[in-house]
Amino acid sequence: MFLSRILAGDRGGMTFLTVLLGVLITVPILNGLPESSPWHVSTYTITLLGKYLTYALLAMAVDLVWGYLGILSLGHGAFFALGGYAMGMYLMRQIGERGVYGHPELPDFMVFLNWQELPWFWYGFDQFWFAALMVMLVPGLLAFVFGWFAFRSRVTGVYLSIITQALTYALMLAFFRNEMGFGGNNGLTDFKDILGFNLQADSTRLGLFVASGVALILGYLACRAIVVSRLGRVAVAVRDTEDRVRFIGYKVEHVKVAIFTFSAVLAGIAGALYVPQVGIINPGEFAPLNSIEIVIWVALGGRATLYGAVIGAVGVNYAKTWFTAAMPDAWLFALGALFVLVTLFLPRGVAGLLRRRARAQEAAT
Amino acid sequence: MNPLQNMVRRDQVYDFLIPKVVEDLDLSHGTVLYMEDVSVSFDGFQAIDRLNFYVDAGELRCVIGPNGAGKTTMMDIITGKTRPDSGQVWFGQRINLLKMSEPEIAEAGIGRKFQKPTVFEHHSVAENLELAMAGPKGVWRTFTARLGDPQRERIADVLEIIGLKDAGGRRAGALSHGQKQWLEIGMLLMQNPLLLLVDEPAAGMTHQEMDRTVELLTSLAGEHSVVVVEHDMDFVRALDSRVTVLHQGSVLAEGNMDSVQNDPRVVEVYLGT
Repeated sequence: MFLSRILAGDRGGMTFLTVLLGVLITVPILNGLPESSPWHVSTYTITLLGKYLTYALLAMAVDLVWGYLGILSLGHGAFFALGGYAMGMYLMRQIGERGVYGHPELPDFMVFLNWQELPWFWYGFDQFWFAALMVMLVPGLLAFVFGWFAFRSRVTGVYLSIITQALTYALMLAFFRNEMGFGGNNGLTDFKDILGFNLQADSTRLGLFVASGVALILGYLACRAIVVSRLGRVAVAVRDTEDRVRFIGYKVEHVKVAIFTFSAVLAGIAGALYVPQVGIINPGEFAPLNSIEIVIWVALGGRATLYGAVIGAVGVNYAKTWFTAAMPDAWLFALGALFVLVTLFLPRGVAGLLRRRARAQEAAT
Repeated sequence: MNPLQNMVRRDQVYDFLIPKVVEDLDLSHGTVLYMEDVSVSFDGFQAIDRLNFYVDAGELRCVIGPNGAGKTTMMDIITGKTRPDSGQVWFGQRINLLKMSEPEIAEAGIGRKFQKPTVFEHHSVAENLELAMAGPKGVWRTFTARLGDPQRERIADVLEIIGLKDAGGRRAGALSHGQKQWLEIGMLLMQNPLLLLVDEPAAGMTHQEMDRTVELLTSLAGEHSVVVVEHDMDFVRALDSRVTVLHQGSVLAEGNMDSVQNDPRVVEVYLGT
């Protein structure tokens, strides 16, 4: 009932969900095949796929605010990284006495800095539920406060984009400092296990991959529920003609803050799933360039479709993996060329192309 | 008065101490809008100069005036987009519009149509009307809102009134200029406002479209109060209503079209002789 309502008329989305479900079911099976089999999928590949899925969730979060609400956020990497740090703190505390210095409570870098006790903001992160809560709460709260001030003073367009860049840049500088208590330059790494499962084990990696896939599906359904509701129509109206919406009687600031915050929470969840799979989180994730790259994924995949963002994120990152292995120097040129070509020939991205195809087929039959 | 002095005024209590009651619109004196002694200037340019302007309940009123006379600024003040430097603006007897934000004013019952037709181009005609519908507009209520039968009927009714009965499913961006103007008036109707401010509804319309618009606006008066700002004299004549002439931010003349047109001051302003 709920599903049929929010997926009505969304052929692209249905295809996307079917493909994703299929991948989530077949990949673990293929992983179970003996390594000599040509169909065997290695655990390395699975972790890579899992990483792409978290990027896809992040791109979807950006598409929700950019494609539907018209807010070009160049700082979503900050929310992703914050979610990642919250998860990283939990993983750090899970290490316990197995660290290099063997301190029962303090993570290695704190012992190294000669700290005697755990800073107050590390309390509670030994509990998974607390960390999981913070994964959503911290990015959400930052987005709420930031959005409240930015949208209430009616900062829009390029100015808002620049402020979001400044936000993520400021966080990067802050997290680089050792005194902040988040591992400074090196960040958080050397994780051992999550919820008692060994992070290096194949089964754990498989589990994280499936969890990322499930999160992406749930995230898609949640975004879709917003987009098809009247709130989603108001959001698109805000994107197109903000003033008019105000005179109709909607509080545009509230709409923007609500959706922006939700998007930040999604980005945070993506970050939390990303960190255990790559095994490290450091201030580099806050780099302004990262946030800009996310926007490129969305633009390539096609704005305001949600699944387009997924196509963009997975496609670009697959290309990145391939290029950086085959010809590392060419990657940035390839990305640049891709961006130019898509802007010139596919202004609506890959999703736009698929849609046009589908429509042409319908017209032909 | 500087802000600090304002904070310690003895003759007023702080706004947040006054319990929030939704004031009923009090029309006991038959006037729906009062603008008294309103002035506003932009960088030294006096856009509105000690303007006094009243609209009776159910009245259809035209406002004309040369460019820069302050017509659009006046609408901006009423809808809360611009704050005047001095003066009073009241909606009915009890609602002080100067203390309200744009959405609050819209909620209270003042709707506005812009000079340039602004509809939501990516939405269908019916969706445009749905968004404009009166009702709770909070974020959560909007998220959970579903169209019930009464709402659907209301949308169908308004589609009928604005002559777009068969275009409900069409994208608003694909409508002709005149149809967009009507759709915007339809959106106003969905808000069910007591006072409609209509800025240049006839701009860019063909003669048939204009006739249809005149019909539409005159049929709205009575139940709603309608203020029309217009340049096109034929259109104003066809509306056959009381006319207010603005000049340099204040009222120059008021009366029916004929008396206004024969007023030597009006002739001078328009023809510059």
